[in-house]
Amino acid sequence: MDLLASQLINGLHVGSIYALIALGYTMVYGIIKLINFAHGDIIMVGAYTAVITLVSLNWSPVAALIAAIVVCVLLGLTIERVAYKPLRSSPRISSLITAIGVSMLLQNAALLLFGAQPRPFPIVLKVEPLRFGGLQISFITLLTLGITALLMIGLQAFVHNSKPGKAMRAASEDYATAQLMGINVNNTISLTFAIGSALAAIGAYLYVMAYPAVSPTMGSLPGLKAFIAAVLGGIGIIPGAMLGAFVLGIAESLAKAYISSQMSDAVVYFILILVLLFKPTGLMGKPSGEKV
Amino acid sequence: MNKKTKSITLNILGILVLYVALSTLIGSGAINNYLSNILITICITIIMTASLNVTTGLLGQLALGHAGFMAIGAYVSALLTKSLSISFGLSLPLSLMLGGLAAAMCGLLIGIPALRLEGDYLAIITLGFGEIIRVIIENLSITGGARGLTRITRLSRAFSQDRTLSMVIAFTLVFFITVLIISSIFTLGRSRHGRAIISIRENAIAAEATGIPTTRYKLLAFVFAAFYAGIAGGLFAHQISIIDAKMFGFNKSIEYLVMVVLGGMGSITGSVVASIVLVALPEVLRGMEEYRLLIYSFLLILMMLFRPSGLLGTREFSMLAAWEAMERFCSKVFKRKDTPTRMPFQPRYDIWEDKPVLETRDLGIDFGGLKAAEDINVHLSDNEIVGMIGPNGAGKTTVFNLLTGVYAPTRGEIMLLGKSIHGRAPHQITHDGIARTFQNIRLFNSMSALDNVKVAFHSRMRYSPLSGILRNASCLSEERGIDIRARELLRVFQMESDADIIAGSLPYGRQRKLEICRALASNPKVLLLDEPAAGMNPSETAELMQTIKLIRDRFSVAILLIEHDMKLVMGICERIYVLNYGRIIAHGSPEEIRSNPEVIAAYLGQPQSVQEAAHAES
Amino acid sequence: MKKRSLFTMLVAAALLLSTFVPGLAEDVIKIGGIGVLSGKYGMYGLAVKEGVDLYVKQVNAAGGVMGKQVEVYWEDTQGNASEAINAYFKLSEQGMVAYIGAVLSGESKALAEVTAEDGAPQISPSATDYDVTTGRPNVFRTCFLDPFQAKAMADFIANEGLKSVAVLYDNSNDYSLGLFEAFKAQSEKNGLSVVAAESAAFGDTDYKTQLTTIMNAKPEAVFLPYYGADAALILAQANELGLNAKFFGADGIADIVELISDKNLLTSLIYTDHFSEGAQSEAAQKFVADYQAEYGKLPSISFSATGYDAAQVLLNAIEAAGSTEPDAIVAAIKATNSTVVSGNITFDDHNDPVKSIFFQTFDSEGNKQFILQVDP
Repeated sequence: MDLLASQLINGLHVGSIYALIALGYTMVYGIIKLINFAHGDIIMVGAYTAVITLVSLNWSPVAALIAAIVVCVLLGLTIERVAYKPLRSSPRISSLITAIGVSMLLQNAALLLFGAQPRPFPIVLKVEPLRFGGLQISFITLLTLGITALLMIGLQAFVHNSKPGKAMRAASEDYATAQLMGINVNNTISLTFAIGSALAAIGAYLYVMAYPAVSPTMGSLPGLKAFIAAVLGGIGIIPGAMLGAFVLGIAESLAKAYISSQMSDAVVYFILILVLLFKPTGLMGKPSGEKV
Repeated sequence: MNKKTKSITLNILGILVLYVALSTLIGSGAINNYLSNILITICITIIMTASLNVTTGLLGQLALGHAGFMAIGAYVSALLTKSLSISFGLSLPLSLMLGGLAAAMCGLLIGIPALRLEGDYLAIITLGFGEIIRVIIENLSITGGARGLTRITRLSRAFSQDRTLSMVIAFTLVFFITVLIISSIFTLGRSRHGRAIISIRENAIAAEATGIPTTRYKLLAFVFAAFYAGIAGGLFAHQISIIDAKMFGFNKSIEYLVMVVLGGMGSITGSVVASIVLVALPEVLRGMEEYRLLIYSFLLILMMLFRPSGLLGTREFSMLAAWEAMERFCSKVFKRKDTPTRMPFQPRYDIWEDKPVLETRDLGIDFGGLKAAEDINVHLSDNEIVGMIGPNGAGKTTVFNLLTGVYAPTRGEIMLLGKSIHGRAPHQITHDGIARTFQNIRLFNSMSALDNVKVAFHSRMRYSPLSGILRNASCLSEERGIDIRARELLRVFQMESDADIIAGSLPYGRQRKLEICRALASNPKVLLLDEPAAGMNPSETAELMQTIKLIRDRFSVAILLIEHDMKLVMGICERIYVLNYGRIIAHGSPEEIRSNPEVIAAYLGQPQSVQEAAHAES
Repeated sequence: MKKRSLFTMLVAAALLLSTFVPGLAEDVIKIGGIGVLSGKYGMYGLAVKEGVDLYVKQVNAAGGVMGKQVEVYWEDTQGNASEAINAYFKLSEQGMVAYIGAVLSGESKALAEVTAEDGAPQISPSATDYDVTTGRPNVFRTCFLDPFQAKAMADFIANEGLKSVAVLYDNSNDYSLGLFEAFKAQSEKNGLSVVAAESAAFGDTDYKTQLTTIMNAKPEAVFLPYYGADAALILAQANELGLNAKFFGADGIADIVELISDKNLLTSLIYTDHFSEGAQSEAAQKFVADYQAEYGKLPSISFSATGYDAAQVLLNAIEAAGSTEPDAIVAAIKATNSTVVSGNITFDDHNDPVKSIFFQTFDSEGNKQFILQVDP
C-alpha cells in the first residue's frame, strides 16, 4: 500500500511538470490551432539559460529563474513572428512541418553549441523530505505541485476576467470575428505565446531541480507527453490540461512500476490513441463540427 | 514523332541508358563497393520518400510514423531469409513481398482507427503508432529484442562468389524494383483512384459529395504507402545486414519527411531528386556531419515559408507521359486495334409519371435542444425546377445536408425514387442519384477543370486500382470513355477551352459553372444547387438562369435550388418552398408566394421588393 | 525533362570523382579509425582517438613501423551501424591496412560483418559485447567483455561479504542487458540473493518508481549497468528516497564524475574499469604522464588507455609480421603476448584479451580512487 502511495506521489510530481508544459500547448492550440512542436525545446532553452547563469555567471537562483523566463519569452515571441505568423493562412500541414523544423533547429543548435554531454544542475534547494507515516515526499515535489496549482488558478482567473484574457478566449472561439470586433489578434497571439513560454520556463526550472541534468534533447519527450496530456484533457481547455497531465503522470508512474519502463512510454501513446479515437475532444472537451 | 513525343521517349531511354551505364561501371570496378552501396541506398531512399509522398503529398495528411512500416518490412523479410533454407535468389523476392504485405497489414490496422482523424491529430497518432511499433520490436525475443538481428544475408555478396558480379546483380534487382515502384505510383496517381485520393486532399467534403468513398481511399493511400515502405525496409535489412529497432525511430521518419518537403509534396519526381541529393550530399560533405541535421531543420522552415511547393514545384508526370507515349508508339508500330472505349456506366432510373423523384416525410433534425428543421415535407418531380427560400438561418442548407446524408435526420424519411436513403453515406447517396453544389464553392482547386469533372465519374467506373497501376485495357478503355464524356459536359457549359486550366485560377463565374458541371457528371436524377447565384452580377445571374433551364431540358434531372436572388427564383422556379425557423411556412407557385402575407412578413419584406420580383417575370 | 536524367548522371559523376582522393605516396602505413566521434557517446570515441593518436605519434617519432610512417584516417559513425559500414567501404577503397574500431558494441558488430568478409584485421578498444568476435577470426579487442566484468563484479560483491543484491538496468540496450544477465547468473552461483531486478530505459530521467520498488526489497548492494549520465540521476534520486546501499557499476559509468552535482554521493559507488590512473605498473604510469603532457588532462575515460593498447598491439603485430598482408597481420595479432598499459595481454580462442580488471571508487571531491587490480 505504501508502495502504491509512493508511486502515486511520483505520478503527481511528474504530472505537475507535464501540467506546466501542457498549459503552454493548450493555450497556443486554442487560438491558432497549431501544435507547437518546438514548445518542448523551449523548455530545454530555459534549462540551459538557468544552468549557464547559475554556474558560469554565478547569479543567484532567483536571478537565474528570471533570466530563464525572459529568454524563453523572447524566444517564443521570435519563433511566432518569424516562423508561424507567415503561415497562418497556409494549409495546416505547412505549419505543422515548420513547427517540426523549429524543434529540430533548437535541438541541433543546442547540440552544436553545448555538446551532447548532459550538464549537471547545481543544487539550489536543500530541504529535508517530509515524512508522513511510511511515506516520504521531497520538498521539490510539494513545491512543484503548489506552484502549478497557483499558476493554473491564476491563469484561469486571467483568462476569464481580464481584458486580454477575454480577447484570447474570443480569438480561440472565432478568429475572424474577433478581428472584426476590433481585437488586435496579432498581439493576442503574441501574448499567448509569451505566457506559454513563461510557463515553460518555470516548468523547466522545476524540472531541473528535480532531475538535475541539462542536455539538448531533454525537452522533446516531456514536451510530447505534455502535449498528449493536453489532448487527453481537452485541447484548448486550461483545466483540461491540468487534469490530463495528472492522469497521464499517474498512468505513466503506475505503468513503470507494474509493467515496465519501456512499456510505460507505449502505454502513454496507447492512452493517446484511445482518447483520440473515442473522445477526440478530450475528457473535458466539447464537440465541434465543420460547417458544410 | 512530334517534338513532345521525342523528348519524352528520350526520357525512357534515359532510364535504360542510366541503368546500363551504372551497371557497367560497377561491373568493371570503376564504381567501387562504397559507391555501389551509396547507389543502393539512394534507391531505397527513393522508395521510402515516394511512398511517404503518397500519404503526405497525394492524400495531404502528415504521417509521422513511416519508419515504423520500414521496420516491420525489415524484420519480417530478414527473419524469413534467415529461416528459409531455399536459395537466396528465391527467398529474397518472397521475403520482400511478405515484408511489404506485413507492413501493409499494419497500415490497415493502424489506418482504420487513425484515419478518422485529421491534420494534427493524425500526425500525432501516427507518431504514437510508430513509437509503439518500435517498443514492441524491442521487447520481443524473436526480433532479437534490444540486440537486434545480425548476420542477415547481404545483398551485394549473396548472388555469386564473384564480388563484382554479385554487386551488379544486387544493383539490378534494387534498381528495377525502384523503377517499378515509382512507375506504379505515377500510374496510380493518374488513374481514377489517384484522382480520388487527390480530391480528398483538395476538399474532403466535396470529394465525399462527388461520390468518392473517402474513408476507403484514405485507407488505400495509407496501406499502399505502408506496403512500399515495407519493401524498402526489406531491401534495407539485406543491404546493411544488421538491424535494430533504434534505427527506425522518429528521427528516421523525419529524414524522409524532409526529403518529401524538399522535393515537393505531391511531386514524385521531386521525391526522386531530393532523395538523390540528400543521400549523395552528406557523403560528399563528410566533414560536415554535425551540421547536417541543423541544415535540414533550416531547410524545412525555409521551404515552408518561401517555397512550399518544393524545389521542383509541381512539375510532374513526365514519366507517365513517357509511358503513354510508349503506348501510342507501340500501337502504331504493331498496328494494334484501337483500344475500345468504354463509356461510364449510366444508371437507369425508374421514373413513374405520377410519383415524385424525391420526397421527404416529416423530416426533421435536432442539434441538442435546437430544432434546426422540423416537419419538412417536400417533393420533387422529374424535370421540375423548385426553389427553396427563406431568411438566413432558416434551415435551408440544413435540409440540403439532410438530403445528401451529411446529417442524419432525427425524425422522418427521405425517399429517392421510392426508396429510402436513410443511413446511406454521402458518397452512396451520390451514387444513388443526388448531386449538389455548395454555398462556398468547393472545387478541387489544384486539379484541372477537366479532372474536376472526371472525379465525379468515379462512382460510374469500374476498373480496380491494380488495373490503374498496370494501365491495362479495362483502365484505358474506361479512361477514354470519361475523357470524351467530360469534355462533352464542359462543352455544354461552353467551357471546353478551360479543360486544362487549373480550377483554382478560373474566374468566379466559371468556377460556379464548373461546380455545377461536376455535379452533373455523376449522372444524378436530383440536382441540389446551394445559392448558385451568390456573388454574381445581374448579367451573370441571367446567364445562370439560362444554364439552369438548359440543364433541366438537356439532362432529364429535377432541380432544387436555394437562393436569395428573387429575380432568379421567381424567374425560373415552377414551385417555391419558403422556410423560416426550420419549418416550411409556405409552398406554392411564384405568384402565390409573392403575395403570401406571412412570407412577405418573414422574408420578402415590403411591396417594393415584391414589385421588383414581379418585373423579373416579365 | 532531359535535364533531369542529365542531372542524375551528373550527380553520379560527382560521386565518382569525389572518391578519387589524391592517391598518397605508398610509403605510408594507413590505418582506418572508425567509431562514434560526435553526439551523445562521442566522448568515448574521442578518448579512443586520443589514445590511438598518442601512440601513433610516439611510434612515428621513433621511426615508424617497418621504416614507414603511420597515418590514421578517422571516420565518424555518429553511433550508427550503417554509417560504420559505409565508413569501412569508403576507407577500404583508400588502401587501409587494418582498422581500429568501432567504439560502441552495436556499431562494432556491424563493422565486424564487413571486415570479416574481407579478412581485414580489426581491433576494437571498447566493444564489450560477446558477439562482436564470434566466428570472426580477424576481429579482436583490447578490452574485457561484459560477461567477464559482470562476473568479476559479482565475485567482488560476494567477497565483500554482502548477501543481497538488486539490479536496475535497461532491458532495451544490449550493453546493459548483457551485463545484467551475466551478473545475475554469477551472483546466483556465488550464493547472493537477487532481491529485485527493475528496468529503466537509458535517457529516462525519473527512476523513483523503480528505486522505490528496489528500496522495498532492502538490498545491501545495487548493481547499475548504466553510463554516467543516467547513473548520476539514479544516485541522486536514490539518495532522495533514502535508499542506503552500496552501489556498483561497470565500465560505462566512469564519466559520472562530470555529470553529478553532489560529488559526495560518489563515495558509495564502486565500478570496474579497463584501466586506472592509479595503476602501479610502469607502463601505466608512463602512459598517464605522456597523456597529460600531450593533452593537458588526465586520461579519465579508460578507453584512451585501451585505444593506446589497441594501436600498440596492432602496430607491433605489423612489425612482427613484417608485412601488410591481412592474413599475416591477423596471425601476428593472435600471437600477441606483451605488456601494455592496461596489463598483460594475450588472446584466447574467441579473440578476447586475457587481461586484468580494475576496481575503482571516488572520494568526496570526485577524484578517482584505485581499489584493486585483479589479474587473470
